[in-house]
Amino acid sequence: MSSANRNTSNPQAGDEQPPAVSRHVGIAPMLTLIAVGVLLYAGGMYLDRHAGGFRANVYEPYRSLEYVESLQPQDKGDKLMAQGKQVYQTCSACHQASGEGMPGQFPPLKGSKWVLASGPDRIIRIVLNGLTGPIEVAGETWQGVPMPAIGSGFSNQEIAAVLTYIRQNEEWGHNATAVTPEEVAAVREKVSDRSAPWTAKELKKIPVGEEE
Amino acid sequence: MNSSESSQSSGHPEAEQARGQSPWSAADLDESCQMPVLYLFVSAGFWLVISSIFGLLATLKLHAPGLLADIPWFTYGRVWPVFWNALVYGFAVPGGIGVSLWLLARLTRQCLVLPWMIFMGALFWNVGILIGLLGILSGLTTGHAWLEMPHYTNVILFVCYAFMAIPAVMTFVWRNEEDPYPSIWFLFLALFWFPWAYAGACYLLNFVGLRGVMQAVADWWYIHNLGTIYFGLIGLAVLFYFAAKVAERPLYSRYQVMLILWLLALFGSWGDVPHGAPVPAWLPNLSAVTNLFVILVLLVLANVLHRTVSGHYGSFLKSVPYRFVLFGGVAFFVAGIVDFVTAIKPVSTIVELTEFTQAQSLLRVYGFFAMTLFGALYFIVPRLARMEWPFPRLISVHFWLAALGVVLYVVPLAISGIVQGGLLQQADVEFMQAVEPSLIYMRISTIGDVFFLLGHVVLFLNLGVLYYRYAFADWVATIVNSTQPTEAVEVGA
Ligand code: HEC
Repeated sequence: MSSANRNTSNPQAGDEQPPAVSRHVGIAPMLTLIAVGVLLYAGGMYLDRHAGGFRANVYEPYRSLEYVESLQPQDKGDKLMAQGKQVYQTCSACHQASGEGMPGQFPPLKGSKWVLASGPDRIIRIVLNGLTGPIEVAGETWQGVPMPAIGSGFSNQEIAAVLTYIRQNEEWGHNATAVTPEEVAAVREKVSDRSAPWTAKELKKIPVGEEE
Repeated sequence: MNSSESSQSSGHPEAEQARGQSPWSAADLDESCQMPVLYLFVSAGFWLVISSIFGLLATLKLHAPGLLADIPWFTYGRVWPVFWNALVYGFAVPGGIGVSLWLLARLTRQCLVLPWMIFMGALFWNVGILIGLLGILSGLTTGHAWLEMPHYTNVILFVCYAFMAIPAVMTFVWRNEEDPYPSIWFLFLALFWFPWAYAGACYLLNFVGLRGVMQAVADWWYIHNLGTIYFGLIGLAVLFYFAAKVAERPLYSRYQVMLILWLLALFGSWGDVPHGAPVPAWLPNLSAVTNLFVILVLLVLANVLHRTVSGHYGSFLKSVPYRFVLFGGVAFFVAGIVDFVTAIKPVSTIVELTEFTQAQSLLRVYGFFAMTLFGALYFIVPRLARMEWPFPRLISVHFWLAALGVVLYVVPLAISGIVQGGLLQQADVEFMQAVEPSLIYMRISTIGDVFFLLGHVVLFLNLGVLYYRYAFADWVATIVNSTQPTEAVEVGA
């Protein structure tokens, strides 16, 4: 009865025995296993959403690299280039990713005078309404296949982006000025009542700086 | 004593069987531990007094900043780390080793191997602590929380630890109990956990010199390893020992205890990175997730302890050492739940940079671990020294001082942290306005510090006098009695 009391400070307590342990298994290990499974799943989901992809450059309170990058202060041109690269995938079906076109069908954009002209007013029109009839590019005359009004459904931003991309593409050795959405908007305004594709003849009347 | 023994024998037949194998009686086992363990305890008690003097000074400075402010050695930035380092390395770690050694000998039924080696380790460990604390006071602190002592003391402490741990491992290897009581698993793991965490953190922080925010990450990792796992392992070993002993029943379910061990070891050390830390987002979030798993430890532990003790909780109140252990056990649960709750993001953002964290670490290190150790210490020492405590009544005085101290220290600081954190969240509240309300709570927590100090003085009085009687009384008596000329000549020669 009073054994606990005497345990306190009984100097003669030298012959105690070690306590024993039962070998019940019980239901707790099973439940714990299930709980660990559930927690691993829930924890995984949570980390998937909050841990920023385990990247070293995503900090709280942000959760993904994409979001963090979209918040970075960016050079406008860079952003247009990045977007332009996406939009160009529509053009590359014909003009090719290399910008070299297809012999006898699609003229090259790489090295094209109109693409590199100091003003973008002609190429904006081409993308908005398409192009037909003979045109001289890179010393060859192209005709037969017309270019459809591929950009009529694009936003001003997208057209500005793709044109900036073809004008500034370093891999093609291009380094012309960027095209702004405002410039595109201005041209779209002017040609709003036109639906027919342009001809090279008509376009030559549109001034693009020092070009012929 | 026989009554408890017989009721335990009826507890489990296997224990009965194992008993026959050991050539040693409990008295032999105690004798083997006597010299190093008593020394470890008395020096731990000494550092505890030192620690609480500095702790009191540090909290006083929070509301009386002018106090001793002109003496560089006693500025807040030095006094505060001395308080923690003396508490952790002066008291908690060696105290934990002392308890582990005794439990190890008792539960493996093997006499402690090489007690002299352990004693030497403990002796030089204390020298290391002295050098380290003086180092901090003289301004040589490293600035890493819980590792402020200058880097050369890391080497001293590590080597001394090896001196104490190697004989302990050998004792285990040469055990006479085939399948020792589960507490042993925890103690054995702890023997390796401390050097692993300590050496790892010291190497990275004080020798390689991590850069930038990685320092904080390594430091959090270390604090969590020491505070949650190392102290947790030893504290739980003690809890399991006493649970079965006090209830006079076999500990419920060996397998569930094993589960606790693995859950704690696997998931215990990931936590502690606060959400506001300037580190990649995955670190605090992973911390928070692993804290969920630590809740499982609490659940299984609650099951094990309850099934062992249910119906006998009253027995814990019968003697003061048991009361200490009970308090420690309850604090373990409270600390675990608090850790879990504060890892949740909205809570974390409020409390992370406030006194709340301080209340939290004290709850774990003192409320749980130190209190459990006190219980074990009051229980073990009279057996080892084979003497009654010199002032038995003071044991209960110490209990009340310590228990009230924990409450008076932890509760106000926690409230203060929540209030302050809430105010800090509001952009239109100025910083000083947010800090001011905590002043009253700091004053209350200082009372807690006073209680700690008094309690530790009381403990050291008991320990010191007992140790004097054990180690020096005979020796002094011989000198005093040696009035006869022949003996005097002998002494002189
Ligand atoms: C269906 C194929 C096709 C697609 C898609 C296409 N083009 Fe064209 N493009 C042509 C053809 C064919 C011509 C030449 C038309 C002609 O002969 O009059 C041409 C001509 C041009 C020219 C003027 C000639 C030159 O090479 O400088 C430009 C500029 C141009 N395209 C830009 C684009 C851009 C930008 C896009 C994407 C938004 C695009 N094209 C998408 C077929 C296409």
